Amino acid sequence: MQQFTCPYCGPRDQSEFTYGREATSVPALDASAAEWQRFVYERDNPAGPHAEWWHHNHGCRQWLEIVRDTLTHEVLAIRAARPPEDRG
Amino acid sequence: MLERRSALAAHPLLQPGKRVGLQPVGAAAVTLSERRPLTILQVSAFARTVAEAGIHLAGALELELPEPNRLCSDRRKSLRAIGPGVWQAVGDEGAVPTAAALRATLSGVATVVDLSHARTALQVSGPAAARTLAKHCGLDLYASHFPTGSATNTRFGHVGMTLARLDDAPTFELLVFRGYAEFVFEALAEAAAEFGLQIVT
Ligand SMILES: [Zn+2]
Repeated sequence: MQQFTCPYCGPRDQSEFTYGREATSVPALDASAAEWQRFVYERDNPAGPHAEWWHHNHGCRQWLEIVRDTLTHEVLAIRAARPPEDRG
Repeated sequence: MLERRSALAAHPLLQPGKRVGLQPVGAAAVTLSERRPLTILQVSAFARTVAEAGIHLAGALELELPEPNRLCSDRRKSLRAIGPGVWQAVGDEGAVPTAAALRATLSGVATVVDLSHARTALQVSGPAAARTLAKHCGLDLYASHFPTGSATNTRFGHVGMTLARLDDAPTFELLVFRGYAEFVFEALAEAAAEFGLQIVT
């Protein structure tokens, strides 16, 4: 099974994590319909590095940003989503 | 105060001295028991008050503050770090402050949720305890990787649990949702059957 190395928990099976979404920024609430259309429906779907939000729901329960190669499943980067000043 | 009743109180396997499976020469290689009554408080610090919450929490429990996914304990209680700014205080009734008292101590820096009624605590102990658990848990349970004093959230089959290694027997403690207690208990009993199982009531 694929493993992700959680910054808090260390290497864990992928089955402990839940995929959130592509790690792009969310449009402002009053953004145009065209911007929301692009955010909701028009994915880049890259063959290669892809930044993603994952939730370690069966572990430390924090959100992580993972850069994952969609061709090889190699994890290129993994970090806690919360800013460093909030990590205690 | 409501009477605390075990989720397994009526379980047919929970008869004194009950053994399942092969009988090994000498002691059973796995002992299974429920630990109760137990007080379980979950403490979650606010984003900017993690350090402060940790100091006050450790002070209130008269324990050191554990490293991530570790526990600090004395004879009657323990404190586990199970996430960034998230801890569980687990212990015998009376050994851990009440939720209300801890809430007052941590006012403004953390929330306190009493999980005592919401979890069932099971203990799996003995030379084959790790091999029993490994049938349902993906963690590396070898002592080199999950030594005594480890405590973490992980999975038992499809069920979330908080798993701790309490001693070198080794003894593992599983905190599971009360509603899954029967499933986990039966799955453990079945997993341990090949090693020889003793259920202690
Ligand atoms: Zn984690």
